Amino acid sequence: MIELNNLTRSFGDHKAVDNLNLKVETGEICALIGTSGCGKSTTLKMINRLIEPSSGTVLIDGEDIRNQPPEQLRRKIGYAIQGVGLFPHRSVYENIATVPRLLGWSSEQIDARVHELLDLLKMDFDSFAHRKPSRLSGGEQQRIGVARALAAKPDLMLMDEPFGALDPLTRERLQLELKQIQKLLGITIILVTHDIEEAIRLADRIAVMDGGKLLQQATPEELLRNPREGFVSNLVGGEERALRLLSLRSISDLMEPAECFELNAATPSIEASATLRDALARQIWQQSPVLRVTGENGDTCGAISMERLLSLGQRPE
Amino acid sequence: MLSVLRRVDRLGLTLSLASALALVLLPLVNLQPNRILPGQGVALSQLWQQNSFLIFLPLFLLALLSATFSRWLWPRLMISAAALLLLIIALGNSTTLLLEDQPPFARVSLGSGFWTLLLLLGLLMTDALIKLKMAPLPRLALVAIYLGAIFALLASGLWDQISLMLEYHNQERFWQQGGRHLVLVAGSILPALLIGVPLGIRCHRSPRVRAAILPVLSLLQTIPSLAMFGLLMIPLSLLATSFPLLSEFGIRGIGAAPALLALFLYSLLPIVSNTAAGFDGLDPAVLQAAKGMGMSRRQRLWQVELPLALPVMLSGLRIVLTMNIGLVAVAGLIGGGGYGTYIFQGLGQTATDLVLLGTLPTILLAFIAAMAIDTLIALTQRETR
Ligand SMILES: Nc1ncnc2c1ncn2[C@@H]1O[C@H](COP(=O)(O)OP(=O)(O)OP(=O)(O)O)[C@@H](O)[C@H]1O
Ligand SMILES: [Mg+2]
Repeated sequence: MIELNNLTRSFGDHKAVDNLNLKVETGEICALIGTSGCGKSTTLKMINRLIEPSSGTVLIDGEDIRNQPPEQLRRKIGYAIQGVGLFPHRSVYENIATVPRLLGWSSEQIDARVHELLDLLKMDFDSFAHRKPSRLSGGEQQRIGVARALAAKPDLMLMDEPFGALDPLTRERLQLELKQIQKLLGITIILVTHDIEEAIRLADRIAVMDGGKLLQQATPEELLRNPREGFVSNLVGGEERALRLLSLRSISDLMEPAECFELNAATPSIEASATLRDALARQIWQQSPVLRVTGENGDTCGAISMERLLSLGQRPE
Repeated sequence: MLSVLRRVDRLGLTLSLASALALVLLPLVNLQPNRILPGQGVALSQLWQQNSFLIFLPLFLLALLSATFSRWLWPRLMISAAALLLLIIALGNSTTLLLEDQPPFARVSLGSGFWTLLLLLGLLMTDALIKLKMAPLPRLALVAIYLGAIFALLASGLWDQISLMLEYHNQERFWQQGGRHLVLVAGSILPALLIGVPLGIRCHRSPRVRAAILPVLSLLQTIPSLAMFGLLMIPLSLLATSFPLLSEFGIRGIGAAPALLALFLYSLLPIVSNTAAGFDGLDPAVLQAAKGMGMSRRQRLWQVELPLALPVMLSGLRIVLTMNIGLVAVAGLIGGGGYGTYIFQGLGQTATDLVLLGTLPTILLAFIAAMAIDTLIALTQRETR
């Protein structure tokens, strides 16, 4: 568990982070979101002591981070930086091996780990491992940045806009991959972003910042249903919130037994793992108020109606 | 006709025309009555009965034609390289003939025609070599092999009748002087590196240090070398007279000490400013990543900052190396040793070829040093690509 207590950092008389309190449970993804310059990166850097707080404390599993030398602390925390920052003079392999080497792993261990990570990120070892970063596309560089941060099996990862400057499709794919990896490894992630869609898609908990202050922290659903007036409700969007709420849940949460509807061969179908938002989009597109829901093997396992979707997405009283 | 014109390489055409004119109008060699007195130019018509000229001339024409019209860079390079080697052989062969019925003190010396051709053929070769875009190491090897071939020709005694080589054989200490030249260069640059690199890093880290140091170093750079030697001679000779022990170690007003000190001072600016520039140019994201992953200050310096700043730092070293190889020659005047000694002796005796014996190796050393550093820069830059 990560606890930020009354964390403040001033630059001159400007408070970049102002009395921030935040708790992140182990195994959670917490998204720090806010406009540019609101203090997200500063907050993140206070967790790995790249910036020392003016006042307040950071506890990791109950222990104050000031109790250990910054270098040792940083080697235990994965850090994917805004702007990637791969070492241009080192190969992909060497970049990923950075922290394991600092920790004195054996070369067999490192070799196995690099193979494992490239595998995890769906990059072919033979074609990527010995390339220099300048010979990678932007998306590939960001993936290697994530692999490098994961290299020493950290329990905690700090990610500062890890998927900035990517096209929406690649971005979404990487987000899904990250989410899978995080579930698989059970690590805690604190993720900085200024993209509400990204926060909703990835995070278990969203912390909204503005002008150095934490305005609200909540689960995505809570945030969408009960955003605080002003900045937060603007951020989560007015009427678009309906669609965002639908995107939080998968169809299997809300489907009804197939027998309740009269399904025929012409009824369009959708997989149970898709989101409710996908279901609504398909209903509109196919002009069909009911969809057949199929399981992984393609068998019908239920149905979903537009009526039900509409009631879930409606404005809270 | 038009398509032929379009294929003309303008630089090649200019150099070729100039080479042809030089061959016809300027004397390849001079015949001197003795070592000191100026000689008479020997016309091309007196030379070309020589068999080797009969091979050289067509090859020379071919070199000019290929430089003007050919897109094939390898033939261009090879033909002009071969032409220059043949010119050296032909000149060597013709000296015996020219000296046949001359008085014993008569000498054959290299004329303006030869030097012009050397320059122009050198430019043609450089041009082709650059356009070939070879990998750095093979290119260095090629140049080394070619220089080796020229050295082998000279060492074979082919030119022993030519005045320049006579001067060389008179100087028993030619190679020692070369060693001394290099020692002076290294002796000034190594301390400058040891002090300049950390100073450059300090300048990068602190604007205040930079503002204090760089103007002083620039000012030092503007002092002419002879004035600098003079300025340093006074305090050094004072030191030596008050502490005789120091002069035992060579710290005197005259000789190597003021030369070394002056060269050291000159070297500081390029090293310091290029080190600072190299560090200034580092990507902040890379440095932040290095720090954020838990590299210590020293690890960041050696594993990230220095390797990435190296190409810019090396280009500073290139400036210093070529500059100091030239300046060490000037140090010959105050008894510093090195090839400059021959230049000033030669000037004193008005023996042009002795002057050349000092100048040519100096130029060659600077050329080799520049080439070697360029190779290093290319290699280190390729590291990041
Ligand atoms: N080293 C520093 N010195 C002075 N001011 C700083 C420093 N670092 C950050 N700031 C200021 O603190 C504020 C917060 O910066 P921070 O980098 O945390 O913003 P951010 O939320 O990460 O923004 P972005 O989304 O653009 O990355 C900004 O106003 C910035 O100018
Ligand atoms: Mg930021």
